[in-house]
Amino acid sequence: MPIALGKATRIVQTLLKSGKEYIALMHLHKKIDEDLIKKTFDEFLGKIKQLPPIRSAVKRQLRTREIYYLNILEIKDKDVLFKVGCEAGTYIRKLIFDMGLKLKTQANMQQLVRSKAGPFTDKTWHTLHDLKDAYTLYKENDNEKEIRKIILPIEKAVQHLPKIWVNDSAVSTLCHGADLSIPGITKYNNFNENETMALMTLKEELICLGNSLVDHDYIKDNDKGKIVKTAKVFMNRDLYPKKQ
Amino acid sequence: MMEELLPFEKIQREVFVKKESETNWDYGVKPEERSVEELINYGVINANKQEGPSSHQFTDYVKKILNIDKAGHSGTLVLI
Repeated sequence: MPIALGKATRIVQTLLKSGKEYIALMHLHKKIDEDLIKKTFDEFLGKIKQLPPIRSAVKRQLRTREIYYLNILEIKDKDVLFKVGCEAGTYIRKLIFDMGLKLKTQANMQQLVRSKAGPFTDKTWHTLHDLKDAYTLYKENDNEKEIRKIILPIEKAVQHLPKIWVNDSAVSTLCHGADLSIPGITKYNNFNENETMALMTLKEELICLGNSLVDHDYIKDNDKGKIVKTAKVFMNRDLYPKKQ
Repeated sequence: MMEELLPFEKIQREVFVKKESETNWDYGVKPEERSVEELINYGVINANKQEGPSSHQFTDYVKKILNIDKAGHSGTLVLI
């Protein structure tokens, strides 16, 4: 679970919208042939329709979500352990319930662990205990080594987003909420229209997030025009000087 | 087994140059060179939250350990 600290807090909304991976344990109410289970799992790949559960934060209407991968790790009697990569907002409990229906039995979720949220994976996560130890080491022994492994710069939370790097003189205006036009651009990634973009300084600092108004080809072919509509500013507006 | 990659993990990000430019090192800093105090007030933690405390409680513990007022979590595992 990514946790954002202090002024970085608003970055979590970006992560909410990014793809997720879970490891889940499905319990079937009767024993089912393994091949049939495998075949049924494959049928739930790609776009699926889900009705959000009764107690959910969103309006209860059928909505489409994409399942990117769905791999069975182990089948043991009536339990199926699997890994699923899915679009944000996919209800895994519901997915399990629906797979149960398809298997003509009931199925419920016994366990759920998230193994990826955007760029954050379970390979690099830390416990509260790690954090406490690292903080103590830092405060009492002035040793930064461990805490620096745990508390990462906010830029780590946007590493999955397409980026545009801007020149120094564009930074302050972006910090004041202006949109990005071509003259401010130094380098850029490939991106599509209407994507969440991270605008960066040449020192690799995050300035703000915004939405692309065009795709990246437009930058190559033009010398003016708006490229990104600024949405959320993270950088302190006094860090870079105002344009002379 | 299918390849276990989310859509953004499959995209090859290239870098194109529009116009070369130099940065002035009198202001700003590379993210990895920020002080620990700065990171504590402007950083992220990839936390291993398993069963037990709710995401809210967990985030509260983090705030207490680091002695800060503000922290937010992404993506509670909502069990319904």
